Amino acid sequence: MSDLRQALAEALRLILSADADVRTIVSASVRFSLASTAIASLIALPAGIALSASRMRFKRIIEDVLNTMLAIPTVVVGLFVYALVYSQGPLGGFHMLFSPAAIVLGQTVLIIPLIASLACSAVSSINPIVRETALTLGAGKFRTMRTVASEAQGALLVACITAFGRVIGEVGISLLLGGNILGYTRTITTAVSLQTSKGEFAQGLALGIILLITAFIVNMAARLFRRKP
Amino acid sequence: MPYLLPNFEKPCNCKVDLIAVGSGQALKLASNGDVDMVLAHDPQAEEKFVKDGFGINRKTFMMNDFVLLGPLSDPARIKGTKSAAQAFAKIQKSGSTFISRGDNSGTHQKEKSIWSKAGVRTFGSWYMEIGQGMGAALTMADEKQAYIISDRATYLQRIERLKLAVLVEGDPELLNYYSAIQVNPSRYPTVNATLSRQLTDWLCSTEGQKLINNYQISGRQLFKSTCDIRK
Repeated sequence: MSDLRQALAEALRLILSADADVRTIVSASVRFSLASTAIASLIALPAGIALSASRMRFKRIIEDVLNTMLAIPTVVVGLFVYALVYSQGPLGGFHMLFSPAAIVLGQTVLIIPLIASLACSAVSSINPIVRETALTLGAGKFRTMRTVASEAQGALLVACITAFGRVIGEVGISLLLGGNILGYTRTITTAVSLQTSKGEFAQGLALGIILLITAFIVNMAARLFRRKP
Repeated sequence: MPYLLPNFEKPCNCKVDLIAVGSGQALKLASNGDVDMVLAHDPQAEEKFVKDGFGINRKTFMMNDFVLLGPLSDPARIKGTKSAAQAFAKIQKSGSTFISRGDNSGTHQKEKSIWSKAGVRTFGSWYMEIGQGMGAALTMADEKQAYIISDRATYLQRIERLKLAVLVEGDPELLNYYSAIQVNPSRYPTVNATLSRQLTDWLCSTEGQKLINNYQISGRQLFKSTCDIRK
């Protein structure tokens, strides 16, 4: 119990004092997660929408594969990207390992299936009348897809927010590909795992609380952003 | 440990559950009374742990040493330097990349004590604190071709996969002592005091000491028993 009480006090102290180290890692977490969510959305939202509209024979199988990939452990994605970017790997020439770019790449790979799968089911749940109306009004295939997507925009935003939550809370990829370098690739989650290994449990919990507050602020911002247009 | 423990478990017909963590976390678990005994290699923290009444019967039962590793090209020109502190000062001067465990482990404490001996107080971007275990730190030093301090055992286990050379060794400053400490049963009555005393004493028994001295990796002795010289 004393660890929990200490953690709350420590979290408050870190927030109120705007501790420089904490600011750096919070900013790193937010930057990496926003970048990977943005890149993954650019790829996965259109892919998911296209998948839902397609009449391919293997559509169900692709959906099953996507859903299966939601269960993939972050550390496995991390290892996969590690094998790509380490000095002997096919992308070794870019010297990406242990850099923010490697983290963003890994996290992007992690959430592409997640966003695609959620986008696909979001668009599929839109009333088919919308699609048919658009088509009968003479809209092309692409135009129809846009209309349907805009009908589903709330659910698509939820897909992105879910993905953001997954990456800002993951530790396997950030640790393996970023290396937890202080002031460079240390994120909130890798800092928590470091505090744990140091035996500083209260500090670790305090950072966990700060992570949740950060995610809350980002979610609020996303909601306000959606309301505006 | 997987090598030592079976020799203890068999005659006593018991099972030792091993939790492998760094010295910092190990002592924390022990001071919460969540384990029966603890092995660590951070003399200062151990002494404090015993003085604060968390531990009893501390036995410094073995030692090995640290080595200073770096890229074969040795940009800071430290090869052959006798003193680790001097070598550290040269690394700082040349601004060559140095990987630090940064995790309060025994190795990290040792590294910090060498930096302070070398009189280095300011660290630039060449100094990377990664907050991870020895294995991960060696991998990163290899990838970044950086300097790093490692215990000899972990280094030898990975020697085949590393493009790093031993540049400084043999300085008495680089010696590394391991202790076993029982969690104080009068503070935490739930700990298994009988068995933890048996194991702590066994590590310093003739049999335990012989096993420690005989442990080899690729034909090299890794640890030296220290029960006779240190109390």
